[in-house]
Amino acid sequence: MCEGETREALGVEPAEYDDEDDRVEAGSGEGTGAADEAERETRRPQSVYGVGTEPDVRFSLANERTALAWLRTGLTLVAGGVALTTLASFGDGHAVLDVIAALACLAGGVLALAAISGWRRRERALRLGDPLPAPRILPVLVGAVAVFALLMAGYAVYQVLM
Amino acid sequence: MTTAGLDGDTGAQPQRTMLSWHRTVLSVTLGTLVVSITAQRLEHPLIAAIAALTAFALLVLVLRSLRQWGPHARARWTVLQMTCISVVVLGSLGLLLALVNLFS
Repeated sequence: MCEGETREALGVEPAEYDDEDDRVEAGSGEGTGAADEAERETRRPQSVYGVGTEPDVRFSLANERTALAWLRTGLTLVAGGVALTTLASFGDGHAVLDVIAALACLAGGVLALAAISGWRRRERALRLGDPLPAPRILPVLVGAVAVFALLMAGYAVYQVLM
Repeated sequence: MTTAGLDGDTGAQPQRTMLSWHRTVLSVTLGTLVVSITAQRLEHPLIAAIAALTAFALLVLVLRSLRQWGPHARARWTVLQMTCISVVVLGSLGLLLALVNLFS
């Protein structure tokens, strides 16, 4: 759903910052156009804040929360991997568990990088008024979780049969 | 008709975002401590020390940066970056632990 459609669905209209009074009322704290331009040039990351116009802050905050949720998902994978390493250390010959743990930790790190990359892409789209990009990492995550589950199930069956 | 923006939202969005930050920082800190304890249990004191120091540095840096957080503040990108790096470091330490455990 693009930003415009989202706003329509919410039944709201975008905040308009046409004059200085509106800016002050909205709490943005910016002063003149020159100050805006200076902020545009210094605010990081430039690839995001160097383009477009300031979107409705609610959408930016929602984007930030989405990125944080992705970070926590990555963290969960890392925690799962560490838990498996602990489990593997209890007995002998649990190399499979260590391999799965290593993959889970690796996936967690990749997911964290994808979270920040996704935040940039979405914030950029919001600023440019483009449709929101589809999450690239979601199909990968679904596939990885499915593979993870299959590996664990296979390992459990192997343990029962041996 | 409601006007979009914080004026029409009476603070719920910044609060929810701040709570989300708190959950994330708490999760990363606890995750780092779990890695540290696991490394210590598996007798890898170097990894344990790195993880514990990471947890401490993360707490100090992120909590300091979050003091400057605001819906329009510039600090958000820096904190997001630091949190992302922390998760990557944590993932690397977990990977290292798994590999050391595998080959020892």
